Amino acid sequence: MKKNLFLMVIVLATFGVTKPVEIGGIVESYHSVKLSKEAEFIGERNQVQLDFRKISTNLFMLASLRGTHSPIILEDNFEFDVGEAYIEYYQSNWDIRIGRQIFNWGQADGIRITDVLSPLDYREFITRDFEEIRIPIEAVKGHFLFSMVDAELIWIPFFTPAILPANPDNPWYLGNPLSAMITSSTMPKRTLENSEVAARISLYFNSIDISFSASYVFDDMPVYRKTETGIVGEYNRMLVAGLGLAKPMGIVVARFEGAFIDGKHFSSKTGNFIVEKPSVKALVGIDIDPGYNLTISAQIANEQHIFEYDSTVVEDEENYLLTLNIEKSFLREKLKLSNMLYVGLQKYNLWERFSVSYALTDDFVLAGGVDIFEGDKYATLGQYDNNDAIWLKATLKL
Amino acid sequence: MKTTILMAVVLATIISADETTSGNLTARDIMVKVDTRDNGDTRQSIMNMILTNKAGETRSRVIRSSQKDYGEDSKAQMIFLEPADVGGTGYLSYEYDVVGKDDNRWLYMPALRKIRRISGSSNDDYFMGSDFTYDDMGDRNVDEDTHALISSDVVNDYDCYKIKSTPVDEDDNYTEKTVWVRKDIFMTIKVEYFNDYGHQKTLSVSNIEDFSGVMMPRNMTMVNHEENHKTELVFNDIVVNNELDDNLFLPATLKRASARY
Repeated sequence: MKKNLFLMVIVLATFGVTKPVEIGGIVESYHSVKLSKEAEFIGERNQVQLDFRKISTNLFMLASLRGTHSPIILEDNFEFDVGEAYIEYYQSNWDIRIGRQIFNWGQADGIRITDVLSPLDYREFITRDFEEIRIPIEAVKGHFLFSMVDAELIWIPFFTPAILPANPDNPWYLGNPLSAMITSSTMPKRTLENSEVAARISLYFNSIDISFSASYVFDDMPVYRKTETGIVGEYNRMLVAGLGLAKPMGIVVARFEGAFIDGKHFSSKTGNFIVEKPSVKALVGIDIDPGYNLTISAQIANEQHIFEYDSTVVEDEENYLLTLNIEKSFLREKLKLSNMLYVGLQKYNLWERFSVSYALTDDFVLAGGVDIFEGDKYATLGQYDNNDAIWLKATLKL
Repeated sequence: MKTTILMAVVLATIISADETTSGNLTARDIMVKVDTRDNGDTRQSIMNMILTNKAGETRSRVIRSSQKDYGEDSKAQMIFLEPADVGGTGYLSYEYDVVGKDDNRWLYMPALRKIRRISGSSNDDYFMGSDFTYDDMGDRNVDEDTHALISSDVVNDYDCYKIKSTPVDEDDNYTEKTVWVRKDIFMTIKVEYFNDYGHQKTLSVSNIEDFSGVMMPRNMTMVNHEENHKTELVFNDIVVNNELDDNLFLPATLKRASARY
């Protein structure tokens, strides 16, 4: 925390001594209560985020500072951190961005296929929007424009893991069956050799977008290896080669995303408890915009197809997921109704979120909704069957 | 008696011909002149959009707009500056002057941090809660309507052609439009939109100024009579025919934070 405060002071001082900056941000309050007899609070979060932006000749600078009070999720109740903080220098045909930044690759919504650069903060599972839980990472991004083609080259000097709910009192605690035996976790050392790199080429043709990507990164989720000294968590390097497509057809936009992954490690029932297998992820989605202020998005994805599969692998060979999102706005976009559904097809389990939001002003929105989890208790969504909840959120944009 | 009747028939023929022509110009000719009027090869402005509901309450949006013509086609970039809720959102469209060819459109949403390809087909939804539909905001091919010259008229002390335009597509949001075109500069300064329920909206264009030989309006007002709602567009910082880099109109440019603030 001291380090974060120090960083905040440096950032503010840097901006403060220069020309006036633009300040924006968010103030948000969120509360959720379980749908149970006890009506236990499952979420309580108050957050202030300040975004400092400065634009000058060929330069853009951004720094986001966040303060979060969340007594249920955060062990220390409070957390201060620096979100994105970067400098972007640009010329006509290229730009470079250096600093803490968030990446979101791919055509998928809410499912990660080629989106392997920015890890996620799972301390409240995925009940927060993905864009809220992406963790910024230190990186240097070069971006080159060639008419309807652009290329991105990214160097990530050191690895950042996903944040998992480690506190058993956290209602989203994953309950790893090996947790009682885990003796330590090893992070990749911060060396040049352990840097991560990624590249993407995007082509924008008449009526179709195509992207090719390659990422040589560490899996941001740990696997647990049995050693002589106990169970050790580790992060392994993998190569992710991806393809994305988006094609508009009238009121429909069709999306495809696929990735071949070499080097991913899975859990094993035998040996040292881990095994390396090549795998594939793929997704097909459609967005329908029929008018009437209605949007419909549907996706079907195979989150993993494991090649050379055998019965010793703990994970399922396939993991199909279906998502459906319907949103309609009324009253000149002041009132929005939204229904989001995730359904795991391999072991039936689902998460349904229905929400209503109303913009009291353009900058102040009240929202409320209900989250329902159902299904197989050993599946990703079904394991939170007891976390059905109703929630309220107030958001002020600065 | 027969001569009188014959003269009456000839006169009636001449008069009916005048319903679709004005001198040597047909109604379509006039609309082609409107469509091909010199509005500059490039245009930039800061557009303030003020929405007023029937209770008199207002909401506002601020959009930075850049457009560049490529022959009959055009590319447009819009960056949403206010309100904070949409600040930093970037919109890019490639509009084609070919009937039946969909536009190419992309949207960059800062919360998602990625470019999204969106539908390029016609859309009758209101743009950002205003009284302008997405179609109203875009360009329209002359032959998407059939045109008939009704008469001459005076609007705001300007002599105008009064033209009735009827969409060729029966599924169009409007059943017909009445368009007033200034005779001196071939610019539309008033449009009445009709749907199945009657007179739905009225567009008024005013404060037309000369920008280095290019006539551009500073104000446009759309009044929605059905919903008792009004949208005013005020164009500030208008620049015409300045050099705009083609790279400004690339989807990749929307990825730059510097381009969106």
